[in-house]
Formats: sequence, C-alpha cells, structure tokens
Amino acid sequence: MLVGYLISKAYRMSSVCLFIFLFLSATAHGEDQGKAGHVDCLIESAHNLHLADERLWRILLHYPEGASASLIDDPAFFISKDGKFSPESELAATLKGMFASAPLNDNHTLCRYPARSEWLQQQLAIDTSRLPKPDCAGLNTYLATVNPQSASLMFPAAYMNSPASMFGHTYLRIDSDYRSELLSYAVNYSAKTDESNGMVYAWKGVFGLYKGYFSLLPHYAKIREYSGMEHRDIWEYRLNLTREEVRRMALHVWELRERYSDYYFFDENCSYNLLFLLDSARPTAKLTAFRTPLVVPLDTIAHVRKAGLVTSTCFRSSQGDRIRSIAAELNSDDIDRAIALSRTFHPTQPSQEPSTPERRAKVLDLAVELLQHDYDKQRISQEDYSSRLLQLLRERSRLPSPKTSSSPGDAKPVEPDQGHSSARVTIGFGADRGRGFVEAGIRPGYHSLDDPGAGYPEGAQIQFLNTLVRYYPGREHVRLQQLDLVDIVSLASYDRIFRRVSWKVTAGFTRIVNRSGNDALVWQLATGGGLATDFGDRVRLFVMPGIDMYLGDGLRDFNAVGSGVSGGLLVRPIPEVILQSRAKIAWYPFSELHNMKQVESSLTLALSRNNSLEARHTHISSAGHSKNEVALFLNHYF
Amino acid sequence: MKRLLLAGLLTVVTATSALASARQNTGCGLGTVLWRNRAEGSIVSQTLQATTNGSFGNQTFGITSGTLECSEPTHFAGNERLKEFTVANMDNLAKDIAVGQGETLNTFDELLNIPADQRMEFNQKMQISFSQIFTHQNIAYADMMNNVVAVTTIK
Repeated sequence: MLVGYLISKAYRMSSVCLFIFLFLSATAHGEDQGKAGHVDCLIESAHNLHLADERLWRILLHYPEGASASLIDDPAFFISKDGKFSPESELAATLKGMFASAPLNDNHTLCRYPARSEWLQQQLAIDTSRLPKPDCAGLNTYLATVNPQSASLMFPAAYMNSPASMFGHTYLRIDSDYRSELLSYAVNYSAKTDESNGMVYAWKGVFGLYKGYFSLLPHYAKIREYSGMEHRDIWEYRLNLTREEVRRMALHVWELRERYSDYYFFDENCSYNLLFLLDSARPTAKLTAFRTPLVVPLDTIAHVRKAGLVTSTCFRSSQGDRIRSIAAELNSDDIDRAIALSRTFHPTQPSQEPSTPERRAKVLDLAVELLQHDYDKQRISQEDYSSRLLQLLRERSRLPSPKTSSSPGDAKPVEPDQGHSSARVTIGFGADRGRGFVEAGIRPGYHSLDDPGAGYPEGAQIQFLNTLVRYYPGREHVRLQQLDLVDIVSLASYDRIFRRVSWKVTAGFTRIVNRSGNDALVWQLATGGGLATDFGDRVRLFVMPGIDMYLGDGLRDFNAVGSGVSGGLLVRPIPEVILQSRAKIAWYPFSELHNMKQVESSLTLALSRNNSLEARHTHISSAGHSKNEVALFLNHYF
Repeated sequence: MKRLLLAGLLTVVTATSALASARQNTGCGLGTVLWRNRAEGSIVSQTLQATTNGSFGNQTFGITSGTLECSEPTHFAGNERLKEFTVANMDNLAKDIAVGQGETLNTFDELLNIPADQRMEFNQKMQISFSQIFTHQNIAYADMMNNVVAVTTIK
C-alpha cells in the first residue's frame, strides 16, 4: 500500500518536473536553465518523498542505522561538502551531478556513483533521455569483467599455529557466468599499510589511524593467499541474493573504489564494512544495525545466516590439509623419498623406487606440494624452484592420473559459525586453602583451550582482556584476580613435514603467592616455546621451556625473573568433553620466590553451543608456601 | 601501582618487531606470480597481524593483474582473460596438466571453450605431451600456449 502510494506520488511529482522542464525548454531562456529548474524540481520531489531518509540511500552513504554521520572518512566520497553529516545535501548534490554536462567521462556522477544514480532514477522516475550520456569506460569494463551474477560470503578459517588468525577475516566473492570459482572476483576491505614497526602497527590498527580501502582482486589470488600460503581452510557461505541485488552491490563497490574510511580493528573492521555491501544488495536485511564494540568476523556470519541470506555452505581445504591427506596414504619411506625429491631432484634409481606407479605418482605429488611450500616460505630461490618443479612434473606426467578420488579433506569439519560465540561471561565459586570464594569474569574475545572446541582449531588459544574478579565472603572488598592483556597458546602437533613449534605468550596482571604467603597482584610476562605431539586423534601432549617475569609491589625486590618448563596433556574423549592437565616448574634464582610448582587440572563439559561447565583443581607452591584451590565455573558465550 | 603500569607499558614497547618483507616477482613463466610471504613471520608479528585482520600491503582495485609485458601467442591472441589467468596460475596449471586433472586445468579448459565432452581427451593429450608444452623452466606464456596448440591441435 505504502509503496504503491509512494510510487504514484513519485510519478506525479516527476510529471510535474517534466512539465516545468518542457515549459522552460520551450521558452527563450535555453536548455541550461531548463535543466537547472528540472533538477531543483527533482530535489524538491526527493525532499517531499523523504528519500534521504530511505534505508538504501543511507546505506549507500554508509550511515549506520540511527547514526548522524557516515563511516566513510574520505572527503572525496561525498559530492556535497556536508555529505558526511547530511544525507539530504548529498542527495541534492548527487542529483545535480547526474545532470551536469561535464566531464562526460568516468568522473561524471552517473559513472562514478552508478548505484546512487540508478536508485534515484527509479525513485523519482527520471526520464533517462534527459540525462547526459557520459562515456563510462572504466565502469563498463568493470561490469563486463566481473559480470556479477551471484555472491558468497567467504571466511578463511584460522591458520594452524597462528592463533591470531583465529579472529578470522571475511570477504565477499562475486560470481560470474563462469563455472570456475577461480574466475570470480573477491571484494575485500582491509587497512592499507606497509608499516614495519610492530608497535606502531598495532597501535594504529586499534585506534583507527589506518585508512581502510575496499579492494577487488581475482579470486584465485585470494585462494593462493589464504589456502596456499597461509594454510587456512576457506569456508564459503552461498548467499541467496538475486542477480539484480548482486548487480546493485557491484555498482556500490565501484562507488567505493579508492575511497577510505578509518580502519578500527575492533569494530569498524573488515567484517563490519562488508555488511554495508550486503545491505546495499538487500536493504531489508538490516545487517548494519548489528554493531557491537567488538565485531568478530564469525559473529557477522552467524548474523548473516540469521537474516536468512545463507543458502548453503562449502568448504575448501587448505594446502596443508592436502599435503597431510597425501602423506596419510604413504608409508614413512615414501614420505622420506618425497622430502628428498623436493630438496634435490636426483635421477631415477629403480632400486629405491616405490613399487607401483600409483605410489610413485603419490610420492611425486607430495614432493611437488612440499617444493611449493618451501618456495612460499622463501627457503629456495626461484631458479631452483622452477627447475625442480619442472623435473618433478615431467616425471609425474608419465604416470597415470589418479582415479577421480574423494575430494580433499575427507571429513568436513564443524562449520566455524556453529562454534561458541566469541565473548564470554563466567560465574563460579570455589575454595582456596579452605576459604570459600565467588568469582566472576568477562572476556571480550576469543577462545581458550578450556572452551568447547567445536568449530575452532585444535590447540589454539587467544584471549583478549580476560578479566576475573574474586570475592571472599567476610572480606571487605572484591579483588582483581586476573586481567590478561593478551594470552596466546599455540599447540601445533610436530611432524616431519611441517616441523611446527608450539609457543605461548601471556601478558597481564595475575596473582602469585609471595614469601608472606599472600596472593600478590603482579604484572606477568611469560613466554615459551616447545613441541607438541598427537597420540591418535584425541590426545595432544606438549612440553615447553620458557621464561617468566613478574613485577609488582608485592614482591620484595619488585621483580622475579626466572625460567622453567611447562608441560601438559589435552584430551578430547568425545567432542563435548575436554580434559586438561598442565604442570609447570620454574626457578627464580635471585628472588624470594625461589621456585614455583603449579599443577592445574580441569574438566570442561559443553552443555550447549553457548554454555559450558568447568571444574578445576589447582595446586601451587612457591616461596615456601603451598595451596590448593578447587572451583566450579559456568561459562556463557554471547 | 605506578611502577606496575610502567612495567606493562614496557612490555608493549619491547614487543616490536619487523614484519616479514614482501617478495614480489612479476613475469610470464613459472614461479613468477606474486608471492607474498607473511604467514611465517615472528611470533610478535603473527600476533600483531590480527590488528588489521592480516591484510596489509597494496591490494588495489585491479581487474587485471598486469600482464602487459607478456607477449601474445599465435592463437588466442587478445584473449585477455586467458592470458591473465594463465600467467598468474602457470605453476598450478603445470601441476594439473602433469596430473591430468584439477581445478586450475578445468578453468583453463573453460577459458579455451573446450566442450565438456572433449575435455578428458584434451587433458590427456596435454598430460602425455607435458615435456613438449613446458620445454624449459623459463618458458613464457606465449610459447607455452603455442605448444599447447601444437600438441592438441586446437584452434
């Protein structure tokens, strides 16, 4: 009803505009004046129709729901100087630009802002014959090349041994008529930087000092980046957007090219900015209304799914998985052969050859993958790489191709958006040396080894700002128990092919038992590196030597620096249960702590996707004191 | 408490590290595609990569990946899409041709408009003639394509 009314109103308005236009054109004042009058009339119509308040218009200008300013920071994105704060003046300026007689090239509003222009033409029923005809060469090449037909939301999952990548990334894939996905295009939003100083890099990323740009690149390049070089699986969420919707989105992507918005790691990041693109395709999805202080890529996927946009999910296993699955079919002699072949190609020695052509083919396949892996890691020169690659492939081409076997990655893992949400609240109680306490905590992100593991990479932990407070009934106040700035653990199983090391870094406030037997609040910096190994699919064992540093007024010399070794066992008998036991022994030779022993065991039970129960026992002895603590926690993820 | 905060700041300051440098090769043959290594940086850089969601460098708004310097083959001259894809994916294409199947090879066939029912035969011909297609390690796009045409007799 309302829509019909608006449309008929728009037609009425524009026919009035048309009348004025014809009238003025007919007079001696000339066409320019007539055009100006026509534009003014259209601006008035748009004003009367409240077009500047329409959701799609605000989305095209990147105004979040209810906000009074656009998130685009590049002044060049707006035609009107007030455009960042006034959708209405930007609308008027766009209308004027559409009718401008110069320049008749890609910089004309009709070419530069095709999504805005098309929408205004429809809403105001603008007679296209009245519009100038600029030559939109760049836009036309773009549309012809990308040929937008359908779209998918892409999520490269965490990369092994890099918990930081667990935060994830999202980008959009725009598909054409080509059957091959390699010929699709990827639309990516990211911060632009060549910063080499790590601290500056982090600081700027968090505080919005980088400019974020949308980029467009062939999808095969994205696959190589994530699946090849980083060994990340890529999840694909096919969207039910219509061809018309995808086309509008592609037009909007064009409007954003070379225009920046300040990049904020926690909220205005890759994932949030992509939601504007999806909303431009289908404004009724209202995805940009989803704005939290921490926009985690995974949460946006869950949100897009909830909005009913996802039809199906596909999975592309990483190069690492492919290497592992080839290796799984070979015995250790064959793996050794493949490793040797990838390092130095030696002419065939029949005595050392695997028996069957099929096995020879697999050995060569593995050698080629390992060679490419070495090249990715810059361990060999291009000269060596291409000569060895060619030698291996020549051998390979003489052997039969494998029968069209099972797709790589035999079992599709749990979809990442089916795992727990990234923020966590904790409530629990326990006893410390026989004194009862209650404990509460909040953690904005992301995943720890104690959390239910479905959908997350195994052995990876990354926590930001994990905060716990504790209260002992009868005492005067609540005390800070722990505040981790960052807490990362990466337990990657060591094998002959990848030889990954495990490592950990923790920085934050924690409590340790000092010489008086008190729990002193100290600043902790701990790091370590070691090895982990798997026993079957369910047990992972690790050993990690490391260095600890504690600083705080609760320590006699303010500091305690030492080194030690930690080790432990991670068991997942069934997906819903995690059993852990970790022990640490460390020496602090010049401090009152002398040595510290700690044994912590925990049992986690996943109650549902977003709830878990954890029981924990901790034994600590340091500075000649020892204590036992037991506690039970309920975790809720949101 | 002040000293405690200072200690915290110290940690952040010391946590600086140079990020892995980028390697960029451009050319028309094997091993010349854009490689950028940042997966195996230091622990600190890995952690810090999270601050921009791991994407840095100059990813632009490119619809072609710069293959101007590569000369054209006798057949399929001017097929920009084919050229761009083949140059950028030469290594994986060589891999797939040697094995006789794969996603990159399927894409190559699609770009050459090989009818679906003739692809198996076409791919087999290329596999058998691998050494005639990739004659040496520095082979460039135009020569490789001319060799494909010669061994498969497609036009």
